Amino acid sequence: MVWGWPVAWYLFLGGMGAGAMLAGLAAPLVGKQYAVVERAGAAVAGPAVAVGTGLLVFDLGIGRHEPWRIAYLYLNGSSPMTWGTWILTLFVPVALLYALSVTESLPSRWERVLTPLHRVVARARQVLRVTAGVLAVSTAIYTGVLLSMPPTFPLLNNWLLPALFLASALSTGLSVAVLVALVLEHRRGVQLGLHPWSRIHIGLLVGEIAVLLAWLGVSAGAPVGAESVQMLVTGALAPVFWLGVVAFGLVGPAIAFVAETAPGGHSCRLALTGEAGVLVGGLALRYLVLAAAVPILARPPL
Amino acid sequence: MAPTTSRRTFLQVTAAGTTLAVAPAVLPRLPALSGEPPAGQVNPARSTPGKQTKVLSACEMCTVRCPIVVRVRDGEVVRIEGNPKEKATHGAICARGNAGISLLRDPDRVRTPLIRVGERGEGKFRQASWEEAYRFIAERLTQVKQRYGPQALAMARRPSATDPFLVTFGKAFGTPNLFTHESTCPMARNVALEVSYGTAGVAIDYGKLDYLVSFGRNHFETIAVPQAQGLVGALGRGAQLVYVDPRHTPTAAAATTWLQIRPGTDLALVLAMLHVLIAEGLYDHDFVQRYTHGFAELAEAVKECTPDWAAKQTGIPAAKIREVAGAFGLARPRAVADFGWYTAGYANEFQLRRAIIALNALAGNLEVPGGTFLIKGMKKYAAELGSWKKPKFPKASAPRVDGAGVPGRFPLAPAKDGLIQALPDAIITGQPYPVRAFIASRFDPLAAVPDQARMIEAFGRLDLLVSIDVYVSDTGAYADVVLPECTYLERTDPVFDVSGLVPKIRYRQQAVPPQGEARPGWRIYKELAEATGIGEYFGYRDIDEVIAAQLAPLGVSPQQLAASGQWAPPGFAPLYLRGKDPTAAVKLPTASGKIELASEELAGLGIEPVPRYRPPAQRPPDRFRLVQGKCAVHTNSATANVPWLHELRPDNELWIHPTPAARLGIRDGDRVVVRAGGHQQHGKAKVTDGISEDTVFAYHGWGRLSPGLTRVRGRGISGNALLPATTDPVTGSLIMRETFVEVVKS
Amino acid sequence: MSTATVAPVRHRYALVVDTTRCIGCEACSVACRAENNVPEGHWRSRIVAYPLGKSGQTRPVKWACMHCADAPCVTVCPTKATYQRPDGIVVIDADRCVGCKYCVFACPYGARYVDEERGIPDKCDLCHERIDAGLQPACVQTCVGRAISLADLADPNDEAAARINSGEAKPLHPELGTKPSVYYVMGR
Repeated sequence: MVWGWPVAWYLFLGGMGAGAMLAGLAAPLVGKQYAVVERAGAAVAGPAVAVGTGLLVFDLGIGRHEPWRIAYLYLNGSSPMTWGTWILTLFVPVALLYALSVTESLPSRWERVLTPLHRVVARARQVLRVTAGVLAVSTAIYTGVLLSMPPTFPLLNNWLLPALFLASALSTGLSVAVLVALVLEHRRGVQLGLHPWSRIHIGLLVGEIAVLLAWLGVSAGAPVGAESVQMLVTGALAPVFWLGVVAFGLVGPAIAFVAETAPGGHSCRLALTGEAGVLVGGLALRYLVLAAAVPILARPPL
Repeated sequence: MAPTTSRRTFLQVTAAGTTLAVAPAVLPRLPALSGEPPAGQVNPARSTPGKQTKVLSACEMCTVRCPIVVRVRDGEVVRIEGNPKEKATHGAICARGNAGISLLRDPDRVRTPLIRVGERGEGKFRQASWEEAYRFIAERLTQVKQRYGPQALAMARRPSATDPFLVTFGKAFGTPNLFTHESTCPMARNVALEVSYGTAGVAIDYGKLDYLVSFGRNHFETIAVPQAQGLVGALGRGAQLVYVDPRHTPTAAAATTWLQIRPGTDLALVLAMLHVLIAEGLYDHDFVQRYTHGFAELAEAVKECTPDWAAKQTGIPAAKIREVAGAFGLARPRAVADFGWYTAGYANEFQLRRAIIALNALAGNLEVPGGTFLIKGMKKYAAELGSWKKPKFPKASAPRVDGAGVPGRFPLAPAKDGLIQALPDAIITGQPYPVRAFIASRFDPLAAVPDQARMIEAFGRLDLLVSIDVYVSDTGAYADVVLPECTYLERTDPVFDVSGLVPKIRYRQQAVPPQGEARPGWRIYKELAEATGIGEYFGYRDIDEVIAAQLAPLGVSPQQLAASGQWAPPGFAPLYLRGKDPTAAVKLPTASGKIELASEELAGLGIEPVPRYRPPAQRPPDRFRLVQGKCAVHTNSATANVPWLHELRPDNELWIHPTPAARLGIRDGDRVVVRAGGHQQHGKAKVTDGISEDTVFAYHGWGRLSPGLTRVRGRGISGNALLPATTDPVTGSLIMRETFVEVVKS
Repeated sequence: MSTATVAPVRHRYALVVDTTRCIGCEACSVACRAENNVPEGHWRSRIVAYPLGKSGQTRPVKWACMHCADAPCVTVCPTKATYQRPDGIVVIDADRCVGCKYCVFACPYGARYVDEERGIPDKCDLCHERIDAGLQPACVQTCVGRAISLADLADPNDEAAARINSGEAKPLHPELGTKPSVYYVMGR
């Protein structure tokens, strides 16, 4: 593995942060009462992506010790990594500003500093909303493009990978947004109705399962890709795949959300379990994508 | 541990120094953010840039001694390259030659004299001064000489340019018991050449041959660069290579035809080839008449050796044997049968080599391009090298302890080489007389000679064991004193003869100062002789004086030699005595003056005068014949611990055929135990159909004992810990492929 | 050869590896290691047992950076630390690299390793300093079988280039679409 756990965590956090932003942006469309989801999603997005970016910097070789070299990362227009550098550079501040623009109460300690800024961003909320949306989609997808571009790993070298990353980002992002919203509302003693979100999430999960199946199918059709799929489905990585991705991340949450939306459901705990499972599954998926990538040519002992 | 400047520490030091000196300039250097990278960066870690000196020298990573150019920058060797002016190698050197720097820098090297403080083999030593070490050795040598006579000292080495000093020391001391490693390797071949041609100085013109039959001479793994390069060139021209080996080696892969012969039956194949050549009249009648002796006896001996008979012995179809023999006959005189290299194999080895010589004689390939040739040595074709002045040696105090060259014992075995495997018995039994002191010079009998346990027992009985080496070898770990010799990059050696078709000398020139306290052989033996009271035999001041004395008869100055690293008489073209006139006189130093196909000398010793078949030892059921060989990146046990080469091949494996492996439940990569004669070795199995079903194979040089060899100690299988030391009564060579081992999964 | 030519000579370098002359001795591997001070545990070039069809037979093949004309490493390098010189050699400007390892990930030939101590990926650079100085790359010079040749495709009289132009020497895995500049003669 060229890239290990730090990058897997980044892929997860980056996707989740972007997805959380998108969930937040979608909240007003789902219902007026879900402004808290909007705030939660916006609040999670910036920090999550920032922490992920920190992990990327941590994973750098010489760039970690000589951080000024990071300036060079912005220079190659043909590299998805350069695109990503721009995207992350813009997304984190935009997400933070947008979070500020939708916040209801400023933390008292920072109130004096933040109030004028808040006034400004609140006025630019609409611009920020659109910009954040575009950047969030970019953040969710570019990692998939980055991994799929070189011909080296048949498991990754296909257009379904960005689609899978987008699906996973939306799902994990929605989960974290809802979880954070629940925590915020719980603190205020408000019971948040989760039915619509659970329904949306069922849809997202069905979509993700479809993309996952298609991706595995396409990969299994490629000569070396089949080895990767075999590793995932029956090989060394099968426990993580079946337990982490399938059981915790997809099927488990789907059942939980169906149960939650069933007549007489309304079990917050069920929804909570489902959301947590999605996050575990999301992380497992990002790790497996890296771990199961078998190179198209046997690696020389270099 | 003596200080060594590894590249890493060197770089760090440099980097730190730079930072201190020019700190402000090292701050973030952000070239124009234009996106266009700067051109032509120079990496200071590279070996090419910078001001360098080039030292012309000779390699010593194996005994071939290829000519090299050592590039030195700031007192450090940065690269070793082949000498591009050498036409036999075109600037090539092998992996081992390229790894000389890695040996030079190896932290495992011994860099100060050591005196043992622990038990023998424990590897516990204290550092000592050279003076103390010399005094220690000299005192014990003197005691041994007084009590047992000078013959109680044995000395052994792998032949090298240091030989003149070791031999002088031994002869001055008065002992006849000087050994080389030859009986573990090419002795059977050399004796066969001596008997047949009157000299072992016969070689093959690989580059120009059209057809080569090689009986296990594994050119592309047991690499002598000039030979390998010549053969690759010949194959590229369309020459045919028939390679005979039970194992699929890189040479088998490159061969036109690979014959997977039943082990130990090569002689049957050669006899059948002789049969076909004679029966079908495919041999060179004129040559046989003019240059050979005893053809009629040979023809009589191979009369019954039909291809059908040989097919039963060898497992090679009779039609294939006829085909190969026929093609060989048609390709003459540029058809050659390889004399072999490592020939310490089977009990029939001597007669096999004799039969191979007969094949060459029938091809009439002597002294023609693409054939075989007598080495055109300096003494005969230019001038004999001189030597430093020394008194006459005393007469040896006894005949050789091992009987090499002694009538009634091993009369054909070269007395200059001896039978190293006979040493333990002499030490342990005190017969025919006691041997009480042993000096091993860049030679590791515990790794190189079969019956390791007996050798260890013998070492335990010695009054003095000295190892002169670059590592604390296995033998070193048992030694009383280890003297650190410097590597070939740190010393100048005497000039040596590397003649081939042209008379030629080469020499090894010091490139960098010795590390730590290490000293060159010429100095160690001189100083040791002075401490022992025989200093008058080492009347030179330094190595330059030795070389000047050597060169004096040639009219070549040391400066001339230093500039080129080697020298040949100007204008001397490759000389083939029969190149222009196939009837030209070639006088051989045999009794008949001809190639002795039948030898009265042998008959007189009660040995078959012409080759006759003797099958190899029968394999007991459920046992395997154990065969060892060389891999391309190591020189037997000598380089196993060299870091880069160790990285390339850190371990050996036991090759075993899938059929017996399945029967024993052994899968590729499984741990196995190999047992023989009450000894056992542990290793890893390599299941491959590249080896015969009845045979197991392991590369030689692993399963080491010395704590001083940190990388390879305890790794892999030592064949010599399993094999008994069986000696061929004819040649004195070891017989190392007639032992059968048990293999089980561990 | 002199570098002090009046008119700039344009070169297009390639390597021809004649596997029928390769004995698999790894002299090239070690020469490269020594020439380039490759760190412990790494090699820029090695001999691999390359499968010939499905027979199970293999051929020793020298394997290192293929100096692709359409190199994924050059495309993906975000800092342009990896770039292709006008003469075709793909090199790394260590001063510009951040150590993101995307190039290592992207190379389908697995030709790159990470020099952990420097935090920078590295690979064969065809000994360009030697070439610039009029010398052969270390692997070419040391080759026991004289199996490796430096070709200049811009030189119409270059013998090694002729073997490329005639189709005798072919790249390995052209289907990956990277247009390698290392060409192999596989022979019989």
